[in-house]
Amino acid sequence: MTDPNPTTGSWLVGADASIDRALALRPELAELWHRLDDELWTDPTMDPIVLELCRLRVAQLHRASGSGAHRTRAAVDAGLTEELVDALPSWSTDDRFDATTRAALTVAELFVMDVHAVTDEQMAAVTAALGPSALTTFTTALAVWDGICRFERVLVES
Amino acid sequence: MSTTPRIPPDERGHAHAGTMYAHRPVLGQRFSTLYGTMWREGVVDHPTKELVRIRNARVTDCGF
Repeated sequence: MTDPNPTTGSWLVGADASIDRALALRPELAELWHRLDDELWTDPTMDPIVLELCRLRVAQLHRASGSGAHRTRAAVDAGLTEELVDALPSWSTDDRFDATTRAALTVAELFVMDVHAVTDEQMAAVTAALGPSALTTFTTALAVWDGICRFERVLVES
Repeated sequence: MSTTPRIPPDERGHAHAGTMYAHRPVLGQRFSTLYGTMWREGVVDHPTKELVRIRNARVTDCGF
């Protein structure tokens, strides 16, 4: 086994390591991955700002800088501001995060740190706030983003 | 961790990924297509993929 690139820390050869470049090694998987990710943002019952804040929080907890650097168009179009993104690490004490966002962020954080610690009460709160369709979107999104952030950390920027 | 399903069960009383994706069938389809392609194609052999899957399930204490 070779060592990672000393400049980028990446296990991929070359200085331009990125998750897109890693996925480009398997273009058919990359296309299917993007189709799945796109579908996460089409649910009319799921607030894209809440979804994006959860995606960014998952990226923050994993210290996945690539995932954390970009913004999803649907969330920006819906009114996501950089001020709110900057406040994300202190969401639990910041009044700008409403009850639905808090319920979602609570589960999102535990999903990454200790999924077994998610309680019935926390799931009941997020289920009541989102409804069944958005709950499905939300939990799939957490699984996908948790995985892609781990993928990014271990392959692109370890 | 609860052992109580957090999604409504189907008509037979079971709650699983299928009942969850009944709420978002296109999303379920896209996930299955990606997952199936990951299993079906690529240079990593199936026994290795399965060992990794089982190990991951054990580490995360997932019954699946």
